[in-house]
Amino acid sequence: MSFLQRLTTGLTASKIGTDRFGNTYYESRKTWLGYGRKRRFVLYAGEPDPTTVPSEWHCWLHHVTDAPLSEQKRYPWQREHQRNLTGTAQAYRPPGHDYSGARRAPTAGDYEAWTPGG
Amino acid sequence: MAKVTIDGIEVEVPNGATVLQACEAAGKEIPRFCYHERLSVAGNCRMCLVEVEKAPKPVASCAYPVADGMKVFTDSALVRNARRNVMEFLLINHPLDCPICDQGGECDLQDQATAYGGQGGRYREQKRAVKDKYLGPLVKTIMTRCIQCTRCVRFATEVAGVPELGATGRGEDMQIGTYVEKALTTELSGNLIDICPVGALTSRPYAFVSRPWELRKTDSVDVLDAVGAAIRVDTRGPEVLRILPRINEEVNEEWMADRGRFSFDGLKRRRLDRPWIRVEGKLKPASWQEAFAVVAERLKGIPGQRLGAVAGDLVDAESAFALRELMVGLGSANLDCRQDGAAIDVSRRDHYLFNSGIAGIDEADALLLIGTNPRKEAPVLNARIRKRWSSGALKVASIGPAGLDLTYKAEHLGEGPDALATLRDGGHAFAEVLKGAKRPMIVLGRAAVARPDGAAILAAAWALAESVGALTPEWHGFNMLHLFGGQVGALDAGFVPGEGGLDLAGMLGGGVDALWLLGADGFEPGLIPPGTFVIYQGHHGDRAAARADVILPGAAYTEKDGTYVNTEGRVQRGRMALHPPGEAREDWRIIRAAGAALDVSLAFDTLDALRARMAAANPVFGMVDGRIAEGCHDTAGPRLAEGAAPEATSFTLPITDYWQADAISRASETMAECSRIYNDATPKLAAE
Repeated sequence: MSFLQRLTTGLTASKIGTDRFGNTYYESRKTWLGYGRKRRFVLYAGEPDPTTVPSEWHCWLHHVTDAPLSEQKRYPWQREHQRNLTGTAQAYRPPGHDYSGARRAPTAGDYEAWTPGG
Repeated sequence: MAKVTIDGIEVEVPNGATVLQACEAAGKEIPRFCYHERLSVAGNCRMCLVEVEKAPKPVASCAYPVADGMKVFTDSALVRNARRNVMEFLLINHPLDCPICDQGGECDLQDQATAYGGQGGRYREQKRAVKDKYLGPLVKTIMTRCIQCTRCVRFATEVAGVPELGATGRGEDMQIGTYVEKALTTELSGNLIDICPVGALTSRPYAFVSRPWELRKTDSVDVLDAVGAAIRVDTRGPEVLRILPRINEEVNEEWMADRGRFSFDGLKRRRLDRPWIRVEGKLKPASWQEAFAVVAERLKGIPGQRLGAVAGDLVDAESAFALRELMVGLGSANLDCRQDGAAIDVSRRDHYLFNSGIAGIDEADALLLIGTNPRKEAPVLNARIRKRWSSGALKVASIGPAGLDLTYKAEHLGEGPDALATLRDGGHAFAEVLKGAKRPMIVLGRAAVARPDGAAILAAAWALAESVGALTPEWHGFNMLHLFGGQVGALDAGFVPGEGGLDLAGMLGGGVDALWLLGADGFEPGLIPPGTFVIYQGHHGDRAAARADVILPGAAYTEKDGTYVNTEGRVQRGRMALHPPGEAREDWRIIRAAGAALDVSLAFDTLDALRARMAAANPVFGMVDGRIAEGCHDTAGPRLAEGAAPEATSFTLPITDYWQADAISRASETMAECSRIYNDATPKLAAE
């Protein structure tokens, strides 16, 4: 965060909290003109990437809840938040993709060709 | 004739016709489940109720004979009410699983419930549930859906001739089953699926595969036996999903044999989908250009009379004719389409046809089977024989292996050709039956002449036919029963040794340096002398492909427009339902392209031009779907060399395993499973 950003953020907004990935969440001190409510925003821990915001904070950020949800309360069916991996080595590739074995599911029109061995 | 008035329309129907038939003659639709034109009348579904004037109650029209002056109402308030109530009763125990039922969209109950049913059921109690029965690898049962119309029971008993199905229990507890759990031992089991009006009997390979409205339907003709049944090939995208029979009264009525119906999954296995050429002893994938280059390079150095060609059992007449033109253009007369070595005399067409016609069986009154088991060789034709036999007007005898189960009673006269001579000399009582018959039929199996003394047997059978008076200008009683759909077409295309040409035995005996196999898998490829240059053109890598030096991938019968001639000489057209896989092409195109590579000018560039040329060479090809039914005007028998006489050896049957008889069914997993189950010596008992 640059000095100017830190200065303006400190003057106009108050820090609400930090999520488990290190993203910091702020709320403006004043109601914004024409917006009708206080502005909520996030300063990312690393590269700016909106998909790193976990659902608890996403809820708060979009004014769904007044206060951020607890990050401690977990249900057994909840999976850990994962950011969008598109463009990285861990990106999802369909089963027929060369990088994931190149073995697609059988489909219409598939046939077994004869080869001299078999 | 009886005059009947149906809803004010006066029709005349024969005495003894049923009210339902009279209504159909008047163009009135009568809903029905148990009634089927080709089965006996059961009258147990009660859906066909109509009102007859002066009758106290609605009557079941399928089982009610007409009387002169009868007045019938098919759309009165009484009739509508009766049908609605019958439908409500039928639906009491019918599950409401149409969305997951394979019959959905082509279900009689669904359609008729929409047309004749009420608004909804009033039944609130528990529905009946029935345990599913095992009927073999082809027919899947969901017996809860059964409405006890007993069509399947009557079909199995009357048409298929295997009284293995029946009903146990009464009323609500009535169940259709095989008493002792076993696979139905019939080659016509697929027809059970067609005649079942609901989804109780459905196709096992087609289970949960598709809906009828998703399919593209192509009318074609079955080539896996020589009957040439009319079929409909149902495809979705690039695959065949099912094959159904079409109605053709002259040939298959509405039945179809299991091998033709269920072997289509073989069209997706072991396919030749690219050209291969042998390089340093190993087959290597190649392009069409490379393959033709090799063919041209090798064949150009060989003189015409050292070239040979053999056509297989499933070839279309076009490709056989085209290959013959190519071979003639190359100067070769070594052609043969008789892979089994059958001594067929092609000098006259009636020497190798089923001359009485398949429909002619309905007129026959005596029938002699020689060296053939039509149940395995042509199940639909066998059902026709059985139908005639059941009417009591036909006496059947057989010469060949003893103990055949033909589904009808046949007197066994002997195992070998000596029985023919005995019969001709009147040494057996059946000779009198044949002589006394107005329409006697002699059915000679193709395999009976596929032996060294075949020509003598052919002549002996012809002579027998002549001596019993089967060869008259009105009736031709000499019949040859072929095995596969491409055999007669190749004979008609003239794919036999020309002047001075070698037959298959001569070619395999070292008479040729290069051999073109057109789908020829019917003989042991090991018999081809080493060093012979072999071109295999076909659709399946079955027996001969591995021996080939060049493989040219062709199209199977569902993948090309082709002409096929059935055993009675009926020229029929099969139509392309889908494209051949990969690089494979239609066979006549391959031959045309090979002609260009070999600098042989072939006088056809299009299929129409080829067909016109075929019709010019042999006029029968110009008469599609037709057949000249004529008697025998010249009783001169087939040519026979001096001193040739039948040997004493017994006849053997060509098809030992019905489910694995051709290249397509040998590649089919469904057929392999059938073969496993039906050839298992120990009968399957109910699961312990």
